[in-house]
Formats: sequence, structure tokens, C-alpha cells
Amino acid sequence: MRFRESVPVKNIKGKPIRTAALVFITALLSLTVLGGTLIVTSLRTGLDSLESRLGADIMVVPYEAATKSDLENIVLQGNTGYFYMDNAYAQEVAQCEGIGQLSCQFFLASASSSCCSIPVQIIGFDPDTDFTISPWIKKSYNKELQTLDVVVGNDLNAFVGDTLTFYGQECQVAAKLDKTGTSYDTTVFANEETIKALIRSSVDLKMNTFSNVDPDTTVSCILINADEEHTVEEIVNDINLHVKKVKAIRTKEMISGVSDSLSGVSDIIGILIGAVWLFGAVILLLAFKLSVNERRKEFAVFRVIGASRGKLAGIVMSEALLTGAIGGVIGIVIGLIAVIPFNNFIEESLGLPFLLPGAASIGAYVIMALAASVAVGALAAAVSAFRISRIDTGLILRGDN
Amino acid sequence: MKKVSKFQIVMDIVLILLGAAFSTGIKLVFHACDKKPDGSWMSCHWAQEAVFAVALALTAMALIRLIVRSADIKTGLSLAMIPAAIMAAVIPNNMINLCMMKDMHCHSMMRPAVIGFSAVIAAAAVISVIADRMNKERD
Repeated sequence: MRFRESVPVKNIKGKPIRTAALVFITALLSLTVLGGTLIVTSLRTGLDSLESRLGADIMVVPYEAATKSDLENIVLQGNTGYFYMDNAYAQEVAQCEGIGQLSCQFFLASASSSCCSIPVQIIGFDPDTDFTISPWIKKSYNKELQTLDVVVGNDLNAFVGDTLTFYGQECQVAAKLDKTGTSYDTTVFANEETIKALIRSSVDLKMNTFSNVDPDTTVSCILINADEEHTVEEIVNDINLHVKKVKAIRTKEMISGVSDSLSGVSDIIGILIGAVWLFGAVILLLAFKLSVNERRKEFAVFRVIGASRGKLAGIVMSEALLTGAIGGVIGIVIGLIAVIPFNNFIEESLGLPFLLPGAASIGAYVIMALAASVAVGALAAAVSAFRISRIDTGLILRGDN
Repeated sequence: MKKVSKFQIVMDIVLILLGAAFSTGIKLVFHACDKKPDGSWMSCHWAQEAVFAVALALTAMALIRLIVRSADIKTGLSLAMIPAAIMAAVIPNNMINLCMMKDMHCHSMMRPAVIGFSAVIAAAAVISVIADRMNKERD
């Protein structure tokens, strides 16, 4: 018998409203499990990415920047901003015990980028000492950055070879970084010479908030990695105790807020998925029960014309598997369309690092969601299939329920 | 004159609804970025306007499809809607530049929504062409 002419397919076609309702429920189940899993995984991947991008144990910033939470806004929220301190502090900090690696960074926000009025964060680093940005840039660009060369984050609409003008200085885009799912995706990176030239131009054009800043004698923040003999805590305490007007912050402490929000969002999504699945499973169970009750005479007739008990159970199970598979695929398509193209919108709405997992992981989640929605449909139908295989044909056909 | 099937009428209505949702959505829901502080528009606004024009044309074609009875004209209109929908999809950022950062509304919301709507309209137009052919063969 051809598939299209089989009893389960004819039953499904013959009751379009019932089929649509079952397909809708299973679609909802696969949509929630896939959408929820993709969002939670992307948030976790984003947090891991942020941790690895920060790449240092300690950040030392001017005291005012730390208290005004400027640093967190720049690093975690993707806001633009800048602050400066004398580079003598870097030398003072370097004298503290336990410093394994030390490098300075320079911040600047563009007044306008080439196409829009939206400011872009520019971070400058010293290629000789840097240990946070260079290893990451090397994945996309293996040469030394020249003066007025910049590397752009993945979410900037600029490409290799483009020219970006900041404070009248034309900068060439040398490379575009891989996506990180963090605020660094909208940041421009430059070497020390370039950032100093840009800071100088911003001061000359009277567009820098710090009107008297001298780029040759200032830095924005100092990044530190602890050596093997000292703990991060010891170094932070040492700096905060002995170096005035600066504040040392543990980077892990800085992202603890993000981590807390992430766990809150994950919990809410987890509860939502659980609730949808519970209601979905109960509705499916009731739907199959009602459907089988309503079709008792139909199944009794099947028995009379020679269908075995197993055959009747098989019809119910086949219908459940078919509707589950159709609904599962529809839910998966909707889930993929809702999460993948709109990932930037989700990131913006949640205000948390958000990095989609790789294609292989997404493929695994798709299979998992499809299998789960088909399985829950099949389990719900199995109860009804068992009952229908036990019907008393004579009683039903006589109308004595 | 051949009889129009129920499925063809359903497809005509679906195409009109999709076109209307596309036209109003691009202006009200998945619109481009807001004005700059100085009152001027960013380039994404012009991409939105171009998409709006194509969306209106798609809606008009769907309306004409519902009104006309000739099967060949109906098929012709559906065939014309396919490249028009593809054109709408490639306007944002390919034909007219969007803003600098991909976390801005024009990138995060407008572009994926335009591509999604265009794909659905193109798919619905293909289905309506198939429905027209099947109806013609049946007659």
C-alpha cells in the first residue's frame, strides 16, 4: 500500500482541525525546546567569550572611572567612553609584587563614524606588551598593525580595505575580527601610535572631554596577569593599598553581574520550557484519549474486518509519529528563523553577551528538539494505543459502553 | 473563462495579507533606525523607503491577482512577484548601506525581517503559480 493511501495518513487528512491542533502543540514543544536551548547556550557561550576576551586577571583604572562604573559600561555594556590617568601610575603599579604580565590600554570614542552619528569605541594597545587583544587579533590578521591601521569588530559594517575617518584621521581597516558576542564586536582596535594620533586629533579639534590630555603621558587602563607565586587577591589588595588615585578590579568580579543576570535569564527560560512541556504533554495525552474515545466504533469495525490489536495500536502510534514529526519540523523552522537572523536583536534586548553556537551544535539541538517532540507525542499516544488494543468489539458495536 | 479554484483564492488572500503586513511592518514594526540628533536621516532610512515602495508594489500585484480572472495573467503576476520579492530582500545593506553597527535596529531587526518576509512572499508566489498550473491542467 502506498504511504499516501495508508490508514494513518487518511485519518490525518480526514480530520484537518484535529490534525492542525496536534501539529500546533508539537510545533510549540519543539519551538520552545529549540529556541530556549539556543538562547541559553548562546548566553553561556557569550559569557565564556567575554571571559576569554577580557584575558587579564586584574584591570587598573582611574579611581573615578571605577566609581562611576564607566569601565563596566564600556567593557560589558558596549557603551562608548574614555578616561585617562598619568602613565606614571603604570610604572608605580609595575613595582608591586606578583605582577606576571602588564600592559596598558588607551580608550577613545569616535564622535561620528563614516555613515552614522553613532559613536564607536576605539581601544588602543601596546603591541610589545599586550597579552589580551593581540592573540585574538592574530586569528584574523597575522601581520603587525601599522600606524593608522585599525582592526574592526565583527558587528561593525566595515570591511578590510575600507577607510574610516576618526577626528579627521583616515584609518585603513586591516582586518575584521571573528564574532565574540560581546561589546568588543562593535569596537575598533588600533596600536599605540594610532590611538595616540587619534587622541591628539580629538584634543586639537576640541572634541575631547579631557581638553588638556597629553596622549604621550597618559593611559586609560592597565591590564595585569598575576605570576604563579601570588594570588590575584594579594595583588589587587597591594595595588589598592599602595597606589593612590587608581582602583584595581578583579575581572571575574566585574563580570559576576553579567553571570548573575545570565543565570536569572536561564532559570526563567528553563521554567518556561518546563511549563510549556508539561502543559503540552498533558494536552497531547488528553487529545489522543478524546480522539481514540470518539473513534471507538471505527476501531471496532477494523477489528471485525480482521485488523489485529497490534494493527490498531500501530495506527494510533503512526498518526502520533506523523503529527509529531510534522509539528516538530514546523517548530524547528520557526525557532531557527526566530533566533538565528534576530540574534543581534535578542542580544540588544537582553543586554547580555550572546554568541550563537557553531553549526554542528545547532544541528545537534535541532535533532534533539525533533526527537523530543516526536517522543512526547508518541508517549502520549502510547497510552491510548494500549487502551484501544484492549477494546471489546462486541460491546462497542452494540452501543453498550 | 476557467473557474478559479478555492485554493487559488486562498493563495490570493494570503499574498495580499503578506504584502499588507510587509508594507505596514516596514514602516511601523521592523523599521530603520531613528533620526540623528540633528534631525537628518541615516542611510538605512532610504533602504526602508525603497523596501516600502517594493512592498506596496507587491501588495498591488496581489490585489490585481485577486481581481483578474484570466489564469495566464494571474500566473504572470505571481511570476513577477518572485523577482520583486528577491529585490526587496537585497535592498538593505546590499543595494543601500545600513548603519555602522550590527546591533543597531536596521541590522538587528529590519534586515532579517525584510529577508524573512521576502522569502515567504516569494515562496507563496511560487505556490500560487503551481496552483494556477494545476487548476489549468484540471480544466
